Amino acid sequence: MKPYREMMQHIKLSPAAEERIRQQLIARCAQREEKTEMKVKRIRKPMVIAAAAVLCCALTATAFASGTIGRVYHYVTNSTSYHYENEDGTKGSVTTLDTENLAPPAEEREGRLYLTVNGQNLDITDQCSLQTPYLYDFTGDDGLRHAFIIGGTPESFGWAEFLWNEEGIPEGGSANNYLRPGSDTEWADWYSSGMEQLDLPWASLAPQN
Amino acid sequence: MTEERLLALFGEYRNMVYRLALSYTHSVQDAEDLVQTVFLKLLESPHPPAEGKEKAWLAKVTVNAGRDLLRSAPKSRWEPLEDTFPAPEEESGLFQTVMSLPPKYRAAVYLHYYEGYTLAETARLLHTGISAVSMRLHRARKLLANWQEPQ
Repeated sequence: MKPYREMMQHIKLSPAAEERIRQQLIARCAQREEKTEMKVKRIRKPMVIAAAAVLCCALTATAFASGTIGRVYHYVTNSTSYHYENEDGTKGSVTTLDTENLAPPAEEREGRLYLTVNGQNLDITDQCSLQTPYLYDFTGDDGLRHAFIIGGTPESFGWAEFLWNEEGIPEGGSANNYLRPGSDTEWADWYSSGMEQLDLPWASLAPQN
Repeated sequence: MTEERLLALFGEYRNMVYRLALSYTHSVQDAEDLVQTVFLKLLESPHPPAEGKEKAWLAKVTVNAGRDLLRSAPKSRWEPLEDTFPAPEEESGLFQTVMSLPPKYRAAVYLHYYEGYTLAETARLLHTGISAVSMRLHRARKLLANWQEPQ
């Protein structure tokens, strides 16, 4: 097999191909760094609306750890809601965000904002702003209605996902980067408006702007 | 995976990946695309290989990507070898003979005889058993034995 080994030593990537691939790798590394910076910015203020769901349902939430888990809801954006019942019969729910594996329903590409959830690839840049929400909903593989509110700008957009059960009752939601820029408490206008348009029961819970 | 580490690994293993990619492709373009795919997978992998394990990781991913390519590529995409591969200067027909071997023989021959993997290691990389690798090497040697080194 010596002739084989000697022959294979001559088989190499061409310099042009080598340089082309190297540049591709460098470009992809740069893209990842930008996405990581934006992701850190976006998940700075994640919100869990489980408390709102509990309030609206007039139920008392006690320690999640002491309850028996009932229904579990999985969000498209990688949040999970756990509905539980405590020993004293009270019920509640907790929603957790998987901040390591968030799956936003939109993404920024070359200065434009694209709806990407549910196989979409729609440029929604001109259909949403800091004041105006973009709404999208579909029935998931789980047979449940999932609705999304997206607002802001390509450089800094926020989103929320809400979920209804089979009887059409909203079960909860999770949101990301939904606050008014510069505020720690006030909801962004697009977010409040989106909640109202979806007729969600938690719209009235908005902190006084 | 940092850019520095990625480019260092690319510098060290690009030709190994390319030669292994050639086992599964029938065109220079496809082999180059496969190299790019493999290193992008390295960058994107949520579980990058530990230090010292990168070569085996790259070989395994190249084998997997090559097999995916074979499953998806129609034969009509294959180009005549003499029009695509820049043959070594003293090419004597051995290259053509090797490239005429079936892909799974080429891969086994490359990993065992060129990269020096043992039969067991080669089998693991190719997702097959040791006896299957032995058989492929045996048959490849028979086919290559028909090639005569020029006097």
